[in-house]
Amino acid sequence: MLNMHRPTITDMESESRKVTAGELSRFADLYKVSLEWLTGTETRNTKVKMAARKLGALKDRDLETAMRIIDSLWQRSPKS
Amino acid sequence: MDRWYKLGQSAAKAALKYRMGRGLSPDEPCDVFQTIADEKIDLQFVDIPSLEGMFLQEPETRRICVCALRPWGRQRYTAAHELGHCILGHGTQVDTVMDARGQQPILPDEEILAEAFARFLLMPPRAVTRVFGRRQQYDARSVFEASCWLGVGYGTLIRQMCSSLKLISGAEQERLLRFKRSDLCRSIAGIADLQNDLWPLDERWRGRRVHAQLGDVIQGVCAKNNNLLTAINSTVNQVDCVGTETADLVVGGSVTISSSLRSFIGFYDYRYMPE
Repeated sequence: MLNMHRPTITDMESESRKVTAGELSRFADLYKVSLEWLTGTETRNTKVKMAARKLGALKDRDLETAMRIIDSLWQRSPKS
Repeated sequence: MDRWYKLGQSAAKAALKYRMGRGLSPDEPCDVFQTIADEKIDLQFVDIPSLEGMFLQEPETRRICVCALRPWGRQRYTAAHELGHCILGHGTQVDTVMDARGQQPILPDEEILAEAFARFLLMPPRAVTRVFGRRQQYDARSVFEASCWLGVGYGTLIRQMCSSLKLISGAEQERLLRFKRSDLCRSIAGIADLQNDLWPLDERWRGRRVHAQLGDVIQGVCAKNNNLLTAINSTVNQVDCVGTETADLVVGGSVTISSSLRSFIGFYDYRYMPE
């Protein structure tokens, strides 16, 4: 799906190879998350906070997972 | 009651209009997972036990999340419910597990609307009437087979037939709900202790697609020349591999079988990809 060899992925995982901007963008598309979320640079926006209010009935661990999913959506590029 | 009725009517109309808009005949089942994919909405199966489903909307993307830990019929129903939130313009919605104490919760309008939308998207009156054929005989086996064809749970179809479509009485509903799944599986496939889902396929399935999971049992197809299935006997097979393939129906014609890991976690786009 990524058109990358397995050793390339292994090198990225072990941090012996840097990830290019293009590769990062392909990862974001594959995992359907924003680039900001992938690089850990985003902050939660208002809509996420609004959704969070409705998540009160979730158990703590579930809430964490749900919030991660909601966060990852923010500013994702449009689907082609 | 009046509020529920009015909202239900309005959502039922919206669901039927939506089906028409998608070119889906009113007497055909709706493949809700594929419908969501065709709408270019991301569909994600998640491992969040206390969540039923959620619809997330941002300016540039839409996503439906469904809890993968529920039975398949409930997953499809939840997906249809969340699609209802999307089509009816409710914006981001989070649906947690229903109150299990048997109390009738005070639901906001959006929830009543999405529920009715899901019911009529998956079980419109003409499709339910058609599936029982001319005899309109509502025995447990026929209802079970119909529920598989429509892609909903056995109990869900019975409740729709009683409460919304008035095809059966309350007493008939109670009688049908008393049947045990194990008894039905034994009478259809001859398997008493079946832990996974059973798919009884007949002529109604020609040209359709089964969304199966590993370990499911499919009755009515030939396993010959099919890499996903292992024959238990001449017409009953077990799903043993992840992937998508066509299989020949015993009654003639073919069906597409897509099989995934059990309780698959991840995006629908990757659900049927072999490891």
